[in-house]
Amino acid sequence: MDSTLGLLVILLGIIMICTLVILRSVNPIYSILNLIVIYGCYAAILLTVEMEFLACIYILVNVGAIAVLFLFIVMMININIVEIQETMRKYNIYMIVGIIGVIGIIGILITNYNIRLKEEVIADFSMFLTTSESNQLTVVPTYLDYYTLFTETTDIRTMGSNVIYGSQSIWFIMACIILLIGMVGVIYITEDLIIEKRHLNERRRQDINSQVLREYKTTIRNYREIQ
Amino acid sequence: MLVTFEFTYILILLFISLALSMILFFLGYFLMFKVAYEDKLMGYECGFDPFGNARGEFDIRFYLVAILFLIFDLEITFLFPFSISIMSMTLASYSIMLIFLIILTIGFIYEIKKGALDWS
Amino acid sequence: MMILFESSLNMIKYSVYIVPLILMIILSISIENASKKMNIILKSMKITIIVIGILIMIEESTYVKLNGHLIKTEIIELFEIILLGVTYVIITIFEKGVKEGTKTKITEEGIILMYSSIIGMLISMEAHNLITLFLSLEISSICFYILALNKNSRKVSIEGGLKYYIVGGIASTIILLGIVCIYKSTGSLMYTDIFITLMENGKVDNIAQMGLSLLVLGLIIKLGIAPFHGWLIDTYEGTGMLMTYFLTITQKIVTIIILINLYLMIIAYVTIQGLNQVLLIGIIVTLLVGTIGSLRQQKLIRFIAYSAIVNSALLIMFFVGNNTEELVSYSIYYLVNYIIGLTVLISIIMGLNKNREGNIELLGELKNIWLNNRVVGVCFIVVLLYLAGLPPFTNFISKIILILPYIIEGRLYITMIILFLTVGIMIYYVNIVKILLIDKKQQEERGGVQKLETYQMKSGGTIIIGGMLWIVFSQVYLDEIINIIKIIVAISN
Repeated sequence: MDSTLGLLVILLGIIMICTLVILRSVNPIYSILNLIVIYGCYAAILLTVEMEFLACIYILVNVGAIAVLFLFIVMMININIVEIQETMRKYNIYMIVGIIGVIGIIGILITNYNIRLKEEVIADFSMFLTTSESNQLTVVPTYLDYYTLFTETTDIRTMGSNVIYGSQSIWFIMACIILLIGMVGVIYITEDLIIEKRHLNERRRQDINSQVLREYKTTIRNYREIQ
Repeated sequence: MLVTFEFTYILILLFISLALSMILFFLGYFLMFKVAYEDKLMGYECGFDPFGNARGEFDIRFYLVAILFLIFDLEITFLFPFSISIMSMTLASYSIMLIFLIILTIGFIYEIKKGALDWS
Repeated sequence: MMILFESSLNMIKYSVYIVPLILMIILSISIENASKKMNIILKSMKITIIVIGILIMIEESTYVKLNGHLIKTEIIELFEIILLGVTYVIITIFEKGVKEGTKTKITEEGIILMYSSIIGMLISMEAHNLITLFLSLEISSICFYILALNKNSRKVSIEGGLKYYIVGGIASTIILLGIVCIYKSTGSLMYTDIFITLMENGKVDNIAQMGLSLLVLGLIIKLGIAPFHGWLIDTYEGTGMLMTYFLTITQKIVTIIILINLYLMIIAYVTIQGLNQVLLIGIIVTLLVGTIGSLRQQKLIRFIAYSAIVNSALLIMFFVGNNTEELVSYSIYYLVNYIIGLTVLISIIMGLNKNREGNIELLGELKNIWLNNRVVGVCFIVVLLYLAGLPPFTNFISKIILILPYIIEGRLYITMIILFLTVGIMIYYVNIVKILLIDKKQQEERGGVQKLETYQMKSGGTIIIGGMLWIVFSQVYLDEIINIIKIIVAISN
């Protein structure tokens, strides 16, 4: 119990420091890199609750797509660094109040969070985060627990087997509608910009088919011989 | 049990990679002296003062491609539990997954026809 | 026999919502001619609205479906039909605008997004499970974020759309935190299970109280109650007049039906400390903001936005009282009156055609209506006084019966403040009537009008006539209407 709480406190501490750096930093790219560190730490917290699938998907989707989108936005907008420094001073009070709120929420989470871990994992981790007693190097005969080995499932299987696609399939189809709306909405917003560029580029286009099929007899009509 | 036992090796990998990348990054920083003055760091424009930002205009089609990648990435995350638990699945679940794929394919055809993916 | 075909019936219910969406997407790709495309998509949207409305009325009136995800009662059926009627009105106005040319621009993707927002709203009204509620709120919210960007006026609408997006995202996060807290303390996500587990113990868990109040607060931020009202004014200024109308009415209907569901199933029987006081402070501050803020407005759209805030504050009042069913039925009556009044007002404003393009934007332009067209002026004045709540019209009675039950409970101080502040918002409506009537007389006396813009009613006649009939005849049949609504609420409890 103690070692896992220690691990949680370390990870949450890293998250707190990273959020402070995000809010106070002048260069927006530093903020995004700290955001990626926060995603990694949260994936580690998910690993302690035996949700491996969700942790992998979290990193794949959030870091691989969403942080990349953030970077694209930062590149698109020309942010003047001096202006950020000057305008940030009036937001100090909001930041202090926000930090108090976040500390409160984290306090609620820590005091109400029950983690259960098997004995072997505690024994493995206690090599690195030692708070427990000195029974690491004694030899103890262990018997395999066949019942738990047999009935054990990963979280993917519990999600997949007739929960998402069976009894709660309405959530799945609503997620499908949200993705469809995302595709349609993107075109609604950027329609004008794409159409402008397409009209600009259309005039430069070459139609190779008509160039190759051109014949002498049908194209040249008037000519005058010079002698 | 089946999975959590192997995470210790991943932890060792994480520490070694962190240590190696930090050594490579900070070794140059600490071992070299630095002289930085304004003339050296400013952008070069044939001797004149720089007129503006040196970067070109950012095309919006990159952003469109990134958003579409995000949407299809989420489709893949729904495909993962389906592919693992397909042996214990009924006909209704299978057909719902098929409907999901068909709807997103129609959305993809819509995207292609509207020209969101041309020239990039 | 229904049990045998239940899964296929569920499939049909899914497909009725989804198949028109796919058909509209396919239609918008395959047709090349631009004007034909718009016409066919608008007609198909009308047909789907009619079909969904017929299906809702044919279905058995109360059911629980899909493992307890969706539940329908009489109130929900009534408001689904009102919602579909409002969208039908909007689409007819769009169609006329598309035929004439450039007045109200909307592309075919806008109609696809409107339809998917209707799907989200219909499911969120019927939701019985908290995650279904959250997902359907997200569907409609994402559609509204995108629809809030107007193609005509880019700069103002981008500012409004961005503010709406950020505040809506924060409100959704707060709702999610509330759902998580409820799940932690009760272990289930359905309304009936939450109610049973909360009533078992004598005292409600602290975390469950926090969860329920966070859920309610998140929904109220989306409605625009002060002090979270800033985004609403700027957003409604950025979008056009029609989209403002669509956004106000649909947000009000959906949020109030969700709050009624939560109230009748869970919150009326559970004591939460502090929620009543916070909501009362919110209502009173909203009324203050509505009266003071609208004093200096020059634009008509901002004035409509301020009046929308005030009306939504008055609609929330059933939460704070002690009677469970009576105040709910009075709130529903007030909502129905408000919808009809706003519909008539918007159809008058949209129907007027000036010489140059565009709608009426500044309040000063209203002067010329009385000079040109006496009939339209009279209709305008009647609708404004109806919305304000002056005595010969029924809106006065609906406001009074909302506020007076608090005297019976013994809360005199609150009723006094609220009555004062409702008079305050009435002042600004009467100010517009003064601009209409008296300013034109000053213009006439000063020696002629220099540039007279001719106003003609081009469209919207049927809606205006229907609204006027309601305004006149609902006074005659007042008792019958209120009793019908009370029966509807009592059946669905």
